[in-house]
Amino acid sequence: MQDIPAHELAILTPLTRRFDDRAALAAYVARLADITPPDEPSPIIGGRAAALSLIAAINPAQYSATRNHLDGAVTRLSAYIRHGVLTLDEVRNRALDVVAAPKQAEKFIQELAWRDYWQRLYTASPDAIWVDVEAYKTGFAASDYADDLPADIARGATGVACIDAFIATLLETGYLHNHARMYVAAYIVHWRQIKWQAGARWFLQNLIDGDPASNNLSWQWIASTFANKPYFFNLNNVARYVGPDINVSAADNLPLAHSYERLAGLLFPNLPSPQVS
Amino acid sequence: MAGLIWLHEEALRADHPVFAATSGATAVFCWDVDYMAAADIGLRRQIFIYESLLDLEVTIIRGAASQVLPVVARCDQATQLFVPDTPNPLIKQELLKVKSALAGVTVELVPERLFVQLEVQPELGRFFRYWKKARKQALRRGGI
Repeated sequence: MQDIPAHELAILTPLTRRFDDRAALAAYVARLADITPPDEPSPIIGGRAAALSLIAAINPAQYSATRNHLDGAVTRLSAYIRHGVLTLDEVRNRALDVVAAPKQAEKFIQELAWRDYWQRLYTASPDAIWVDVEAYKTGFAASDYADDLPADIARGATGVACIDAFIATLLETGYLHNHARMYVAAYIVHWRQIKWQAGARWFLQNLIDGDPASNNLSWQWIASTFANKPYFFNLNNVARYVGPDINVSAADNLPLAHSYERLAGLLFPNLPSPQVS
Repeated sequence: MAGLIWLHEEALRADHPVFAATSGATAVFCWDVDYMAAADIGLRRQIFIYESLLDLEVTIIRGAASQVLPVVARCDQATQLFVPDTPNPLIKQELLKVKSALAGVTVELVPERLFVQLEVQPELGRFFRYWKKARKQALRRGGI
């Protein structure tokens, strides 16, 4: 080995790989980032062993039947796929292994295909990931939407009980069920009229599985800049899919407590008739 | 010829094809807090990434790849650098800096295993146009 100058030796000093527990690791990483460590470690544990234990529990039939419910049989594999700990290929292969015929795993595999689709779009136009794919189809122009995320949303204090509960889960665990992501995203873009980019960046910063392609293009689907119609929901829909731990009383969720027809008129007054998903 | 692997945050497993592309290479993960900030990678995700790295035979070094890798390459007398391929423009930008700092070192991007192997890139205008072309392979082991 050739002589190495002192400043280069400093560069070559590796970071530690030995920790007494997860809290010590979290504190070490927080120090590297000069950030206060979290109060509780995330329930999502990094590494292949944790990923394999989740993959062993895949049940495509249950997933298909319950995936839209917040307590449904979702896999929580997204962070591992996002960071290459698992491949889409091996997850798909495992799903095929546990069904009698491929058709029984089709819905599950189709959801994996969404990620492949987003990645193909990202690969085709990597620099376009923050740009509106199409115009908004909400009756508003992009310039009608605010650029920045308001502080009450960032800290989960909007006053809309179910939205605040979803945001609390996001901030405390780094994970949010996909349906809850859709609710929060639609609330931000359509109720609060904020550009999808502001919400997408905030999600990326807080989600352990945050992926620029899947995240941003999903936000664009909600916003209608990558869909034929905007996505929105009402309180009845939330009540149908969440468990008893989420407050879905109308009094505590007033902006959501309307019929779809009424909400379409309130949220998209410039559209001639309901043009929404 | 000595090889060096730049393992980045999108390829955190031991059987990524980048490890099969070369044998006996030093693998380095550059813990770059500026990249993490630019890529909107928050603290919880950073912890997840670090935990995942502990599974791998990889040296974690603090700093940007364009600062760290030239020093490691010179120290190891590396002549080849292997990098998991990615669409991520931030990693691609950093790779350009790495390349300009690594005169005489060849750089190879190693692709990830595919989900579906399609002869022609399907039309990507909407998901279900893609799904119509990809479905058959997607429902087969290996995506073939």
